[in-house]
Amino acid sequence: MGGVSIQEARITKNSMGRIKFKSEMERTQLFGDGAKVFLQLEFVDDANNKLLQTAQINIIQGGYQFVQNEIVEILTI
Amino acid sequence: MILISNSFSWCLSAVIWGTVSDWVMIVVTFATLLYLRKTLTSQLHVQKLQLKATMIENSRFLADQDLRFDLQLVDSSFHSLGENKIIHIFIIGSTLKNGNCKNFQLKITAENTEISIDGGGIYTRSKDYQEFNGEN
Repeated sequence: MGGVSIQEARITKNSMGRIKFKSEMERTQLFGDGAKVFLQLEFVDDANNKLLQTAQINIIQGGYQFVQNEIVEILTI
Repeated sequence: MILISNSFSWCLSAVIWGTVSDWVMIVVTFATLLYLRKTLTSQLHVQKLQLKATMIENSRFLADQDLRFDLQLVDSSFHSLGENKIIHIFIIGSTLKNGNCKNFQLKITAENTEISIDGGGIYTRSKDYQEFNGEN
């Protein structure tokens, strides 16, 4: 299980992003019984150590699925 | 004059009713009480307003903490690399819809594949964003 990360000192409302990344795999990892490849994106507020949002890309035979999961947390002061 | 003076001295005898300075003190004390009451009422009003302002700030703070990104899979393509390997290239677009965040991090983890960042980032300046997209 590998991973990479992008860090920003500060982002503000309407900040826009384009993240380009490549995924390299063996054919056998994508095709065949039990083949499963997925990428997990985690948007993290490091200052508060809080997971803001996640997204997944499941690479499947002949295509991919892009799934957005929103994490809702209630912060109490 | 003597009659009036006598009459006054009977009506407002300093022994019974007090001297002018006593009356001034009473008037000043009463006026002070009135202003004190007014000040306290005003302070209570200001405190209520401050409480409301604090509650608004709290709710605004909570709303800011609840960051939401609008995510889109902008582009994806895959290429064969030799006979055994496949490379997928993804471009994810994101827009922060609310709030702001210090020390932000986007972690990408992968299972059964090796990944590497091929450029990009999350830009607070539209100029940087346009440069990455090759826009002028």
